[in-house]
Amino acid sequence: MKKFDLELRVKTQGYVFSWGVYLQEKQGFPVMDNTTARDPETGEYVKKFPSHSAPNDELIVIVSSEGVVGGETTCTVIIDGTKREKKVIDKLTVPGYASEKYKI
Amino acid sequence: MRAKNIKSKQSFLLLSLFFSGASFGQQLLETKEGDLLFNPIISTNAASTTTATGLIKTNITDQSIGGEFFYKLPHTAPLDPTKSNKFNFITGGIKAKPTEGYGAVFKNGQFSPAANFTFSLNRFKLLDANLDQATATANDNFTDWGGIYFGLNVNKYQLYRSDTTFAAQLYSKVFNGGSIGLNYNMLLYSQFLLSAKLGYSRKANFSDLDEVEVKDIKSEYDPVSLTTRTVTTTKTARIGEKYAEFDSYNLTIALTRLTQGGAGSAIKMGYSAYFDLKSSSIAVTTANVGVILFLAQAKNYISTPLIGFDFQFADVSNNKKSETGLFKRFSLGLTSTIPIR
Repeated sequence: MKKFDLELRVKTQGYVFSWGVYLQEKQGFPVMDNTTARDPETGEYVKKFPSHSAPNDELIVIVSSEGVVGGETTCTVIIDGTKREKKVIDKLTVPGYASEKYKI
Repeated sequence: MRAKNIKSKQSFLLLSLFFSGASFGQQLLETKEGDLLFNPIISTNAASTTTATGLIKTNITDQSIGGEFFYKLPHTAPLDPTKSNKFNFITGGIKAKPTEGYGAVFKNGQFSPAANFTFSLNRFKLLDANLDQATATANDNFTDWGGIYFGLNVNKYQLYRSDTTFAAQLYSKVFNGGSIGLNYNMLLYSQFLLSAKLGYSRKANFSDLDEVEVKDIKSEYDPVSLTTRTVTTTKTARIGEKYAEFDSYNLTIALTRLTQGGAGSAIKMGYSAYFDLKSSSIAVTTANVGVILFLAQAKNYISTPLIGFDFQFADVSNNKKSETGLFKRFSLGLTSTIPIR
């Protein structure tokens, strides 16, 4: 398994009143929620995971949120300093959660 | 002395104007009696600038002006019970009004104050206990919150009764009433809000009493100018013979279709159907049913109700044995919300 530096940035829009970001290799409680520190410039919630690794070098990021239809939670994934084009967007029009896979 | 039936006023149009003090608009809907239909949602993931929000409002039916505030308690992490507080957010409100209405204020210069304070402690995820873990989220189509609320009423009433000595006929009465209850709200499929409130309150029947205008006329004759001068003072009061203070229990159940808080500014329609059961120690139990149709506009991804029409049938099962038909007990209300920004 390769080691890589992972950074996750989350922002919410609309009536989202609870959310969490999960990494598949860290089952259980979310790795980020509303208690995560924010970037004072952008207002995004930011968390860094230095020297992270993922099974089969495939990172799966899951975003789950709750609120009123129209709200959405967006998680931007930055691997080794490169912002990945694909974002994980959980829209409240769709029941359940959103997830994306990233090849390391 | 001129008598007017206050009940006819209650079937008059209700116009409530909410002036939102923040762009973080709430889905606020009030019943015709001026009570919130459900405890509004407040985001628990709000940024520091939206940790607390509030608004001022006026309600023309009960002729009140007041404010509401919403505050997210710190260190709230609804997804993680090890970090979460017992209660996640609090709400509060204050209302003030003249008990005889502004008509008496402007016409007679008469002001008998009434103040209403409310406070509630709320917690997210009461029955929704799966903690929203990703593994359990796929089938999770609801979330919930609820809590306990308290209220305090301080009122000064002007009453009139004819069956006593002249000097004691017009008198003031101070009434302090309290309320306590539970509220529960379940959000289904991110759009349908099923809410229930069950509570006790100590009330007075002042608003149900007939209103009278009491005129005192004093005459004085001046033999020099051969003039009779009359001085008239007028006071608005309610008939005091039937004044009573009593215990009241109420159950309100509402189903509301919340409108979408999207990026667009299109006006969208939502509705709320409600059932309001009232029981008291001095009157028979009655049930009101109604529907509020409201139009809401999304701004900054937040949906704010602009206008609402309240169609209500009072005492649907006619427990008061009224001789009028159900449609005679129908009334229409109008609510409006105007966000400042």
